[in-house]
Amino acid sequence: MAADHPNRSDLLAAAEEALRTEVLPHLDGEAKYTGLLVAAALATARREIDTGDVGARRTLDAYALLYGEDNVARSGVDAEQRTDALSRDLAAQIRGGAYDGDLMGSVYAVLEIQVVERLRLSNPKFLTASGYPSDTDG
Amino acid sequence: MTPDQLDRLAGWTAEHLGARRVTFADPSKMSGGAIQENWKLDAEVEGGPHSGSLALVLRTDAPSGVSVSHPRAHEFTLLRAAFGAGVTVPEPLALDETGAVLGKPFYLMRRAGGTANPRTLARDATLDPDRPALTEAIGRELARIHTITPPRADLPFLPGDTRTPVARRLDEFRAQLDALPRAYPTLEWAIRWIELNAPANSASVLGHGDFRCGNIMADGPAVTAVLDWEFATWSDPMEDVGWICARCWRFGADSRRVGGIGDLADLRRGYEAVSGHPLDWETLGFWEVLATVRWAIIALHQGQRHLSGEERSLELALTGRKAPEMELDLLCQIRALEETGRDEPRFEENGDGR
Repeated sequence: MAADHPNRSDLLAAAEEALRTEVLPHLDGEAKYTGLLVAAALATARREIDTGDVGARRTLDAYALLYGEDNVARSGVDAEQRTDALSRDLAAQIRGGAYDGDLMGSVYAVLEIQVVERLRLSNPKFLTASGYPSDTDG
Repeated sequence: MTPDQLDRLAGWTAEHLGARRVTFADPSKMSGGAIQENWKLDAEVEGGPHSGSLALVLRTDAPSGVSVSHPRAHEFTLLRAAFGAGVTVPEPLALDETGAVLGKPFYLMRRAGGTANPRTLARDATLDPDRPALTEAIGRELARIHTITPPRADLPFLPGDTRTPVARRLDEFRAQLDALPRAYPTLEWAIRWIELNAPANSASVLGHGDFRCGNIMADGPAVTAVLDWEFATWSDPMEDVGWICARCWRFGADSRRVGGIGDLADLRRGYEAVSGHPLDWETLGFWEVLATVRWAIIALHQGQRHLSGEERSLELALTGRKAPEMELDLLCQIRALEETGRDEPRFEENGDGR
């Protein structure tokens, strides 16, 4: 079913803009701080909607280099379940010492992509301040 | 606080301060602290050694005060130990362990002046001329804390076992990660790196455990109080240094390595002016990594506290989403340490205290 317009992303963007331009200037102290947190939450939620499953796909592609396409496909029914299961496997392997001789090797690239994709949603400014390019496309 | 409680408190306080009579102005609750409650109390004391006006803080458990931190009685004892070692802390005055006065344990301490607000200490440009002296003073405080060493008969509640401080933290980290619904491979990776790169062990001292911007009160170039002793533990002295220096505790003032407040050289000068034991400053990068893992895991647990309904809070929810920032710090800092043996790849210190 096609969503009505303005859609959820449009509405979140409008809510954030109204909060920042029309409400926050009238607040100070604790209330202003809370207002800024609300704006940040709206922005993150909107980025998650706009990004869709692009970040999850990039993360799974990275895992495929480590584990192979087949194993990634078998790891769950959807992107979220797969990412969750593969993260769990990798975490357990790292803890078990499987990558002790190669912590900076192939596993590093997978971890980096996964963290970068999460930051694109939660704090893209931090990402660029850390010297990572901002997202170009999907 | 009910009028009844306030009456009982006044009588109890008079008795413990050796005064004839104590009267309180209306107490007010101070902000901050999900686990503890702090009340601002202004007392008029008649008779005894404290005769006159006395600015106090009453610290007790918050209603939902369940935590891994020390109970109030231990905190009071830690404050006494720190006060005795010459650390600038609010002088601890009296403790009620029984709960007979307020229905829960509490203690009274003097109220310090100054501010602990990170927005001032890390971000306010008017503090800039005072930053070198303040950072040096912070170094002196830390060195005084670290003059407290085991064994101490008055601090039996501090955990002591045969594991190294690093090994104890790693066990703690893994248990905390296992308690979360999801897995965090980057944190596991950093933990493994820590395990494989731990420095040969050093002295064991009293570590403050949460020595950072936000828990240090200052007035211009002077430290007025080191607060929040609830996470104190025997540790390597460099653990506190790593905690205050880690990028994630600089409150956006990333170029000032010491908590966003000042430069490392100033901290070091202050520390070494007091301490007879030189620190292995070369290991700072390692200890920053450990601090970053610790804060990432705390952040995840704060997010979980919101999600589980234990404490609904937008701030906790957003703190949970800060974890990947610490994870990126870990990837970058460990890579830099591995490649060059040096740390601090991304944020250069200005070197001029600004």
